[in-house]
Amino acid sequence: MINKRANNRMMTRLSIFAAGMFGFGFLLVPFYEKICEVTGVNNLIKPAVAVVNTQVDVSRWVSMEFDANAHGLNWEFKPVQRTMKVHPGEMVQVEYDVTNKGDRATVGQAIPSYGPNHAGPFVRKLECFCFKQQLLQAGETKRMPVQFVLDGGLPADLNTITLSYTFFEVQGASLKPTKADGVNS
Amino acid sequence: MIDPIKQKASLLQVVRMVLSAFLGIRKRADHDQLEVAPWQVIVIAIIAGLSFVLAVVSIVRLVLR
Amino acid sequence: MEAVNTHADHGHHDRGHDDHDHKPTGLKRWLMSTNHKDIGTMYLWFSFFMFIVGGIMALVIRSELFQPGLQIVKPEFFNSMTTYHGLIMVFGAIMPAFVGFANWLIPMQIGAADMAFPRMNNLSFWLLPPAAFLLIGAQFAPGGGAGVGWTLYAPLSTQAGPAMDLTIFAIHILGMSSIMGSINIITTLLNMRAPGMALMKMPMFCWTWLITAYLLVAVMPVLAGAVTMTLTDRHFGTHFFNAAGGGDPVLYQHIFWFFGHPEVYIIAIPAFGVVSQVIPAFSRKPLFGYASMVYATASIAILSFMVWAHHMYTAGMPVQAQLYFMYATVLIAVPTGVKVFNWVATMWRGSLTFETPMLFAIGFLFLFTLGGFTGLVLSITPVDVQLHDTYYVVAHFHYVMVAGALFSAFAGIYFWLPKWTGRMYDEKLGRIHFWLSLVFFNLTFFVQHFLGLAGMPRRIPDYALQFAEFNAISSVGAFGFGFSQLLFLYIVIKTITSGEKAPDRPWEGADSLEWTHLPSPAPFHSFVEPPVIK
Repeated sequence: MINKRANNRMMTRLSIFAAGMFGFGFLLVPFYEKICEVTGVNNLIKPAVAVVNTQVDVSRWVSMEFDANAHGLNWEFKPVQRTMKVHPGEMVQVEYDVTNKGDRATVGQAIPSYGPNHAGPFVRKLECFCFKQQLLQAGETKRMPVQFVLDGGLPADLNTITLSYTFFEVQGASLKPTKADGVNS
Repeated sequence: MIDPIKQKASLLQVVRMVLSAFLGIRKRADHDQLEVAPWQVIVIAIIAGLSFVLAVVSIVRLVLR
Repeated sequence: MEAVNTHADHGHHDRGHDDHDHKPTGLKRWLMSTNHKDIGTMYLWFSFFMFIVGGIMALVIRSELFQPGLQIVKPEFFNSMTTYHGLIMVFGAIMPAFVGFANWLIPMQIGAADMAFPRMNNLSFWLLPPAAFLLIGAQFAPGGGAGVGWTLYAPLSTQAGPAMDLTIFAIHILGMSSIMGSINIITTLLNMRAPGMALMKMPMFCWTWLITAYLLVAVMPVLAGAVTMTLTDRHFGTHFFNAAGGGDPVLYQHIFWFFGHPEVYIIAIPAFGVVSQVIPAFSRKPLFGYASMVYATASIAILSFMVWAHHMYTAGMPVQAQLYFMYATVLIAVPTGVKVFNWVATMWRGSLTFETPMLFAIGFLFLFTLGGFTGLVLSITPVDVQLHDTYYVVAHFHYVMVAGALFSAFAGIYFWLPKWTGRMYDEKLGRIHFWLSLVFFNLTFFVQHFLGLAGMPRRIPDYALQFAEFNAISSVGAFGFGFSQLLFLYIVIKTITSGEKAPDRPWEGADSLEWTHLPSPAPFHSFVEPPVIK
């Protein structure tokens, strides 16, 4: 019959098509991953929009000056960076270096002070070495961070703030290093 | 089976045919007078299908702007 | 269609053939059949058997839900019932029923002697009973049937018991059967038409099956792929859907619904085809807008690939995707709407009579449109977020599947039964069957809209007290609907055994080849010589 060859050809074509669609089902797997990757729709853990800090007052600059002293301690204590210009609302991190010049382990506690004094409440410290006592072995050097944000309500006439730390020795403190100690270097 | 009276359809006529098919409305007269190759219809239908998707996608973009 | 001459009572060459020559006998006739009519008959009986099995499962579900609280079955068994009710009805009952119609009618309607590949036809039928055996046997696997829902979503399906493997294997077999059946149908329709039977002269039923068969060849392999991935995830250490191994369970849903939405049309489009034969016959007018029906059906098929994710609005997707799928879904309702208008326009000013097939066709038209409208409601994303996985969805797809596909299958069976058996069915009983089905169907499913709107989730064996009344009504309706189908069985058996002799063309408006060129019952071998078509 004349149809027979045409029929068989059509069956072959349709079978190949069906086999191809079976393959296409598996092709959907990488295809799906690619679409998710390109469009970023499957990143359920990451936020879809990057978080932007809307509280930064970019119209205003404040000069920060950093000062460091040691009182009654044979410690060398100084900021890594002496001055810095910051926006109110901006998260700032600065670091201080401290070295025990003496020949025995000492525990010290830093006390902050501000100039002018009424700027104090507007310097919001989130992380500071002054929050806890610091133990330094003889000759040990530490680099210690301070993280702070200047409050947006900072009075307009305050354009320069000095942040000053003074280390005092803590008498009779435990000389064992604690786990909570800052980063050793 | 090819009817010699029938004219070969132009590209535009095939496009019109496919578009009216998407709506589901087509005059019988159209098909009676025209000879249309199946591959023409298939190619144009796939293109029309894709442009349907693109059209809807762009409407979505417009709405979400 | 109208080009076909109406020589019902003169000049067919088949008349000389005795019905019974070359007809094998006994078990061999059925087991080794390559005859499209016998295979069609087997498909139809098989799907009726599965319809009863799936129906019993539905009645188990409805019995448990008759009252709040757990009375009859354990929750695990209940979940298994919802799963296999869905799988059996979709893959075991509705799809084989329409393949049965295709086998019986396509060769007769296009003037071919048989299907293009008769042996493959036999194989695609005989793959079904093993698959059915696996689906039913899964209930007796250790741990009981897999209570994962007919959608077989991961990760539930990757963690279910051994029944899941039987189910996956059954789906592979059913898929192979469908693909082979479709290849057969496409080849028959494209290569085996009688001279003069141009594509655009084919009856609408043939057109809808051509389109459906293409859809089946395109999406059944994708489903096979999805369940294969589930199988390898379960046993061979792959991580397609396992998040712990870098996979993604939502991927399963995308692959499944890439198959699943076209599947909706695989079920609906042959039903459109049957209705498009029945309504013109009883309106005594040609189908209104035949060409536009063909093109609308084709475009529904193409566009059905572009809206799958409207089944998974709540699975987590960006708002852009939700809007895209919402707009696209609403837009593809247009060609379906056009078809409904075409059927209505066919009836417009026709000389209508309301025999049973016409009653079922009109019932289809009315209720399918209702199901279409609730589908539109569900396509609206913000509404769907509220209604997702509630009884509103259950009501929606039963309006489409039962009142759509099943009613149209009933219409088709009553319509062609005289041609198949040579005997008329009992018109009075047929009408009673219709009215019982219509009333009990609505009693069962209409109230489920209210349940869904009130927030009752689907696939639960127990529910809050405020849902009690509607559930009780629905269960009563379900039992009524189920027992009405026994009447249908009785009508069919009565027709076969003792129906009145049917004329060759019992419906004066029916004008396709099987009515005009063949006697009733259609001879075992028809159109051995192709008919002459003007």
